[in-house]
Amino acid sequence: MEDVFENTVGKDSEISQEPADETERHPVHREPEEYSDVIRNEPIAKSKLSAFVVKPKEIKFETQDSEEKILLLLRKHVMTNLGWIVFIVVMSVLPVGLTYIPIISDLPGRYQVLILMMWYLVLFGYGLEKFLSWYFNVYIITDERIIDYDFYSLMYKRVSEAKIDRVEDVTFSMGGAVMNMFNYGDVYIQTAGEQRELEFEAVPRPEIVVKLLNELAIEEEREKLEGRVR
Amino acid sequence: MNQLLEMSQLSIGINDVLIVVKLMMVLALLMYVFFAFLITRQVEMMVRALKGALPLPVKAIAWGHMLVSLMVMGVALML
Repeated sequence: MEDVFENTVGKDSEISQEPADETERHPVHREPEEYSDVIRNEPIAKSKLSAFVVKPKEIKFETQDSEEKILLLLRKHVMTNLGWIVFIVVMSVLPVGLTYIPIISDLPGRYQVLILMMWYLVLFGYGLEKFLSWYFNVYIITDERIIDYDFYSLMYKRVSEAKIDRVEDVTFSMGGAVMNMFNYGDVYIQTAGEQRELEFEAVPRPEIVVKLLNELAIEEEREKLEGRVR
Repeated sequence: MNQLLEMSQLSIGINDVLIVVKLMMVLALLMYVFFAFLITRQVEMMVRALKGALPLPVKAIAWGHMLVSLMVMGVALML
Protein backbone atom coordinates (compact mmCIF):
# COMPACT_ATOMS: atom_id res chain seq x y z
CA MET A 1 0.00 0.00 0.00
CA GLU A 2 2.83 2.27 0.93
CA ASP A 3 4.55 1.47 -2.35
CA VAL A 4 1.46 2.33 -4.29
CA PHE A 5 1.20 5.68 -2.48
CA GLU A 6 4.85 6.48 -3.05
CA ASN A 7 4.57 5.58 -6.71
CA THR A 8 1.55 7.81 -7.15
CA VAL A 9 3.32 10.73 -5.52
CA GLY A 10 6.30 10.10 -7.74
CA LYS A 11 4.15 10.17 -10.87
CA ASP A 12 2.35 13.34 -9.76
CA SER A 13 5.60 15.16 -9.17
CA GLU A 14 6.78 14.14 -12.62
CA ILE A 15 3.59 15.44 -14.22
CA SER A 16 3.67 18.72 -12.28
CA GLN A 17 7.30 19.32 -13.25
CA GLU A 18 6.68 18.96 -17.00
CA PRO A 19 4.65 22.14 -17.60
CA ALA A 20 7.17 24.14 -15.53
CA ASP A 21 9.98 23.02 -17.84
CA GLU A 22 7.80 23.76 -20.87
CA THR A 23 7.17 27.33 -19.63
CA GLU A 24 10.87 27.87 -19.08
CA ARG A 25 11.68 26.71 -22.60
CA HIS A 26 8.81 28.65 -24.32
CA PRO A 27 7.88 31.57 -22.03
CA VAL A 28 4.36 32.90 -22.43
CA HIS A 29 3.85 36.21 -24.24
CA ARG A 30 2.16 38.64 -21.83
CA GLU A 31 -1.10 40.38 -22.70
CA PRO A 32 -0.91 44.22 -22.92
CA GLU A 33 -3.41 44.51 -20.04
CA GLU A 34 -0.87 42.80 -17.78
CA TYR A 35 1.85 45.41 -18.19
CA SER A 36 0.15 48.59 -19.43
CA ASP A 37 -1.84 50.97 -17.23
CA VAL A 38 -3.00 52.82 -20.33
CA ILE A 39 -4.56 49.75 -21.93
CA ARG A 40 -6.07 48.67 -18.59
CA ASN A 41 -7.61 51.99 -17.67
CA GLU A 42 -8.51 53.78 -20.89
CA PRO A 43 -12.10 53.29 -22.07
CA ILE A 44 -12.65 51.73 -25.49
CA ALA A 45 -13.98 54.29 -27.96
CA LYS A 46 -17.29 53.30 -29.57
CA SER A 47 -17.35 55.86 -32.38
CA LYS A 48 -15.59 54.99 -35.63
CA LEU A 49 -14.81 58.67 -36.08
CA SER A 50 -12.82 58.94 -32.87
CA ALA A 51 -9.26 60.29 -33.01
CA PHE A 52 -8.07 58.25 -30.01
CA VAL A 53 -9.06 54.58 -30.18
CA VAL A 54 -7.73 52.10 -27.63
CA LYS A 55 -7.63 48.51 -28.91
CA PRO A 56 -9.79 49.01 -32.03
CA LYS A 57 -11.56 45.71 -32.64
CA GLU A 58 -12.46 45.82 -36.31
CA ILE A 59 -9.41 47.65 -37.68
CA LYS A 60 -6.58 45.78 -39.35
CA PHE A 61 -3.71 47.15 -41.42
CA GLU A 62 -2.15 45.51 -44.45
CA THR A 63 1.22 44.49 -42.94
CA GLN A 64 -0.19 43.30 -39.62
CA ASP A 65 1.09 39.96 -38.31
CA SER A 66 -1.41 37.36 -37.16
CA GLU A 67 -0.26 37.65 -33.53
CA GLU A 68 0.24 41.41 -33.55
CA LYS A 69 -2.35 43.47 -31.66
CA ILE A 70 -3.24 47.10 -32.33
CA LEU A 71 -3.14 48.86 -28.99
CA LEU A 72 -3.79 52.45 -30.02
CA LEU A 73 -5.01 54.08 -33.21
CA LEU A 74 -4.58 57.82 -33.49
CA ARG A 75 -5.71 60.51 -35.89
CA LYS A 76 -5.20 64.24 -35.78
CA HIS A 77 -7.47 65.87 -33.21
CA VAL A 78 -10.97 66.64 -34.50
CA MET A 79 -10.30 70.34 -33.86
CA THR A 80 -7.73 70.35 -36.68
CA ASN A 81 -10.67 69.98 -39.09
CA LEU A 82 -12.26 73.23 -37.96
CA GLY A 83 -10.44 75.37 -40.58
CA TRP A 84 -11.76 73.57 -43.67
CA ILE A 85 -15.23 73.08 -42.16
CA VAL A 86 -15.57 76.84 -41.57
CA PHE A 87 -14.19 77.47 -45.10
CA ILE A 88 -16.87 75.20 -46.60
CA VAL A 89 -19.66 76.81 -44.58
CA VAL A 90 -18.58 80.31 -45.71
CA MET A 91 -18.18 79.21 -49.33
CA SER A 92 -21.59 77.52 -49.41
CA VAL A 93 -23.25 80.80 -48.42
CA LEU A 94 -21.28 82.80 -51.00
CA PRO A 95 -23.49 82.01 -54.08
CA VAL A 96 -26.16 84.25 -52.51
CA GLY A 97 -24.01 87.11 -53.73
CA LEU A 98 -23.54 85.62 -57.23
CA THR A 99 -26.44 87.64 -58.63
CA TYR A 100 -24.51 90.81 -57.83
CA ILE A 101 -21.56 89.82 -60.05
CA PRO A 102 -22.33 91.44 -63.46
CA ILE A 103 -20.77 88.73 -65.71
CA ILE A 104 -22.68 85.91 -64.02
CA SER A 105 -25.96 87.80 -63.61
CA ASP A 106 -25.92 88.58 -67.38
CA LEU A 107 -25.85 84.86 -68.27
CA PRO A 108 -29.14 83.03 -68.97
CA GLY A 109 -30.83 81.34 -65.97
CA ARG A 110 -29.86 77.77 -66.97
CA TYR A 111 -26.16 78.76 -67.10
CA GLN A 112 -26.45 80.31 -63.66
CA VAL A 113 -28.00 77.09 -62.30
CA LEU A 114 -25.15 75.05 -63.83
CA ILE A 115 -22.51 77.34 -62.31
CA LEU A 116 -24.25 76.89 -58.95
CA MET A 117 -24.24 73.09 -59.34
CA MET A 118 -20.54 73.16 -60.23
CA TRP A 119 -19.81 75.38 -57.25
CA TYR A 120 -21.41 72.98 -54.75
CA LEU A 121 -19.89 69.95 -56.47
CA VAL A 122 -16.38 71.35 -56.14
CA LEU A 123 -17.09 72.31 -52.54
CA PHE A 124 -18.30 68.79 -51.77
CA GLY A 125 -15.26 67.28 -53.47
CA TYR A 126 -12.96 69.51 -51.45
CA GLY A 127 -14.70 68.50 -48.21
CA LEU A 128 -14.57 64.80 -49.13
CA GLU A 129 -10.86 64.99 -49.89
CA LYS A 130 -10.16 66.75 -46.59
CA PHE A 131 -12.24 64.20 -44.64
CA LEU A 132 -10.53 61.23 -46.31
CA SER A 133 -7.14 62.75 -45.61
CA TRP A 134 -8.02 63.17 -41.92
CA TYR A 135 -9.69 59.78 -41.52
CA PHE A 136 -7.06 57.61 -43.20
CA ASN A 137 -3.86 59.38 -42.14
CA VAL A 138 -3.48 57.35 -38.99
CA TYR A 139 -0.82 56.53 -36.44
CA ILE A 140 -0.91 52.98 -35.11
CA ILE A 141 0.82 51.61 -32.05
CA THR A 142 0.87 47.83 -31.81
CA ASP A 143 2.54 45.62 -29.20
CA GLU A 144 5.53 45.32 -31.58
CA ARG A 145 5.66 48.40 -33.83
CA ILE A 146 4.78 52.03 -34.43
CA ILE A 147 3.29 52.72 -37.86
CA ASP A 148 2.60 56.05 -39.55
CA TYR A 149 0.23 56.00 -42.55
CA ASP A 150 0.47 59.05 -44.81
CA PHE A 151 -1.62 59.54 -47.91
CA TYR A 152 -0.27 62.47 -49.90
CA SER A 153 -2.18 64.15 -52.72
CA LEU A 154 -4.46 61.71 -54.51
CA MET A 155 -2.53 58.58 -55.29
CA TYR A 156 0.57 58.60 -53.11
CA LYS A 157 0.95 56.56 -49.95
CA ARG A 158 3.84 56.46 -47.48
CA VAL A 159 4.06 54.01 -44.60
CA SER A 160 6.77 54.55 -42.01
CA GLU A 161 7.30 52.14 -39.19
CA ALA A 162 9.67 51.46 -36.35
CA LYS A 163 10.04 48.52 -34.00
CA ILE A 164 9.33 49.36 -30.37
CA ASP A 165 12.76 48.05 -29.34
CA ARG A 166 14.38 50.58 -31.75
CA VAL A 167 12.78 53.56 -30.02
CA GLU A 168 15.42 55.68 -28.34
CA ASP A 169 13.64 58.81 -27.24
CA VAL A 170 10.04 60.00 -27.06
CA THR A 171 9.03 63.62 -26.52
CA PHE A 172 5.86 65.59 -26.94
CA SER A 173 5.01 69.24 -27.33
CA MET A 174 1.85 71.25 -26.88
CA GLY A 175 1.93 74.88 -27.91
CA GLY A 176 -0.77 77.49 -28.09
CA ALA A 177 -4.09 78.11 -26.42
CA VAL A 178 -6.14 75.83 -28.67
CA MET A 179 -3.81 72.84 -28.19
CA ASN A 180 -3.86 73.27 -24.42
CA MET A 181 -7.59 73.85 -24.28
CA PHE A 182 -8.42 70.71 -26.27
CA ASN A 183 -5.44 68.70 -25.00
CA TYR A 184 -3.64 67.71 -28.16
CA GLY A 185 -0.07 68.02 -29.40
CA ASP A 186 2.79 66.55 -31.40
CA VAL A 187 4.70 63.41 -30.35
CA TYR A 188 8.25 62.94 -31.66
CA ILE A 189 9.73 59.46 -31.62
CA GLN A 190 13.47 59.10 -32.22
CA THR A 191 14.47 55.68 -33.44
CA ALA A 192 17.71 53.89 -34.15
CA GLY A 193 16.44 52.69 -37.52
CA GLU A 194 16.69 54.12 -41.01
CA GLN A 195 13.62 56.23 -40.40
CA ARG A 196 15.27 58.47 -37.81
CA GLU A 197 12.20 60.21 -36.49
CA LEU A 198 8.49 59.50 -36.53
CA GLU A 199 6.17 62.38 -35.84
CA PHE A 200 2.59 62.06 -34.65
CA GLU A 201 1.06 65.41 -35.52
CA ALA A 202 -1.68 67.01 -33.40
CA VAL A 203 -2.75 63.78 -31.68
CA PRO A 204 -5.14 63.84 -28.74
CA ARG A 205 -3.72 63.28 -25.23
CA PRO A 206 -0.02 63.12 -26.19
CA GLU A 207 1.01 62.42 -22.58
CA ILE A 208 -0.95 59.14 -22.65
CA VAL A 209 0.69 58.22 -25.97
CA VAL A 210 4.15 58.81 -24.49
CA LYS A 211 3.22 56.80 -21.38
CA LEU A 212 2.07 53.85 -23.51
CA LEU A 213 5.25 53.96 -25.60
CA ASN A 214 7.33 53.92 -22.43
CA GLU A 215 5.39 50.95 -21.06
CA LEU A 216 5.88 49.10 -24.34
CA ALA A 217 9.60 49.87 -24.40
CA ILE A 218 9.98 48.53 -20.84
CA GLU A 219 8.05 45.38 -21.77
CA GLU A 220 10.29 44.86 -24.82
CA GLU A 221 13.35 45.10 -22.53
CA ARG A 222 11.80 42.56 -20.18
CA GLU A 223 10.98 40.25 -23.08
CA LYS A 224 14.60 40.38 -24.21
CA LEU A 225 15.93 39.70 -20.70
CA GLU A 226 13.53 36.82 -20.12
CA GLY A 227 14.00 35.42 -23.64
CA ARG A 228 10.36 35.98 -24.63
CA VAL A 229 11.15 37.77 -27.89
CA ARG A 230 8.71 36.84 -30.70
CA MET B 1 -31.10 98.51 -92.38
CA ASN B 2 -27.78 99.36 -90.79
CA GLN B 3 -29.38 99.10 -87.34
CA LEU B 4 -30.74 95.63 -88.19
CA LEU B 5 -27.29 94.50 -89.33
CA GLU B 6 -25.71 95.76 -86.08
CA MET B 7 -28.35 93.93 -84.02
CA SER B 8 -27.80 90.65 -85.88
CA GLN B 9 -24.03 90.94 -85.40
CA LEU B 10 -24.59 91.60 -81.69
CA SER B 11 -26.82 88.53 -81.27
CA ILE B 12 -24.20 86.32 -82.96
CA GLY B 13 -21.59 87.75 -80.59
CA ILE B 14 -23.61 86.82 -77.49
CA ASN B 15 -24.15 83.28 -78.78
CA ASP B 16 -20.44 82.93 -79.37
CA VAL B 17 -19.78 83.99 -75.82
CA LEU B 18 -22.29 81.45 -74.55
CA ILE B 19 -20.68 78.69 -76.63
CA VAL B 20 -17.27 79.60 -75.20
CA VAL B 21 -18.72 79.60 -71.65
CA LYS B 22 -20.34 76.21 -72.27
CA LEU B 23 -17.10 74.78 -73.66
CA MET B 24 -15.15 76.05 -70.68
CA MET B 25 -17.67 74.53 -68.27
CA VAL B 26 -17.65 71.17 -70.04
CA LEU B 27 -13.84 71.13 -70.02
CA ALA B 28 -13.76 72.01 -66.31
CA LEU B 29 -16.32 69.28 -65.60
CA LEU B 30 -14.34 66.76 -67.64
CA MET B 31 -11.33 67.48 -65.45
CA TYR B 32 -13.53 67.26 -62.38
CA VAL B 33 -14.91 63.84 -63.40
CA PHE B 34 -11.30 62.66 -63.68
CA PHE B 35 -10.63 64.07 -60.19
CA ALA B 36 -13.76 62.25 -58.88
CA PHE B 37 -12.53 59.02 -60.47
CA LEU B 38 -9.14 59.47 -58.79
CA ILE B 39 -10.93 59.87 -55.45
CA THR B 40 -12.64 56.48 -55.92
CA ARG B 41 -9.23 54.90 -56.64
CA GLN B 42 -7.75 56.64 -53.63
CA VAL B 43 -10.57 55.33 -51.43
CA GLU B 44 -9.92 51.78 -52.68
CA MET B 45 -6.25 52.18 -51.76
CA MET B 46 -7.08 53.62 -48.33
CA VAL B 47 -9.66 50.95 -47.49
CA ARG B 48 -7.17 48.23 -48.53
CA ALA B 49 -4.49 49.77 -46.31
CA LEU B 50 -6.75 50.14 -43.28
CA LYS B 51 -9.28 47.32 -43.28
CA GLY B 52 -12.45 47.80 -41.27
CA ALA B 53 -12.41 51.60 -41.28
CA LEU B 54 -15.90 52.53 -42.58
CA PRO B 55 -15.28 50.77 -45.91
CA LEU B 56 -18.84 50.77 -47.27
CA PRO B 57 -19.98 54.35 -46.45
CA VAL B 58 -16.71 55.84 -47.70
CA LYS B 59 -16.81 53.87 -50.95
CA ALA B 60 -20.49 54.73 -51.46
CA ILE B 61 -19.83 58.45 -50.96
CA ALA B 62 -16.87 58.42 -53.36
CA TRP B 63 -18.83 56.60 -56.09
CA GLY B 64 -21.91 58.78 -55.47
CA HIS B 65 -19.73 61.87 -55.88
CA MET B 66 -18.44 60.59 -59.20
CA LEU B 67 -21.97 59.77 -60.38
CA VAL B 68 -23.20 63.28 -59.51
CA SER B 69 -20.23 64.88 -61.29
CA LEU B 70 -21.09 62.80 -64.42
CA MET B 71 -24.70 63.94 -64.17
CA VAL B 72 -23.66 67.61 -63.90
CA MET B 73 -21.50 67.14 -66.99
CA GLY B 74 -24.49 65.64 -68.77
CA VAL B 75 -26.50 68.75 -67.85
CA ALA B 76 -23.70 70.97 -69.18
CA LEU B 77 -23.66 69.07 -72.49
CA MET B 78 -27.43 69.43 -72.87
CA LEU B 79 -27.38 73.24 -72.42
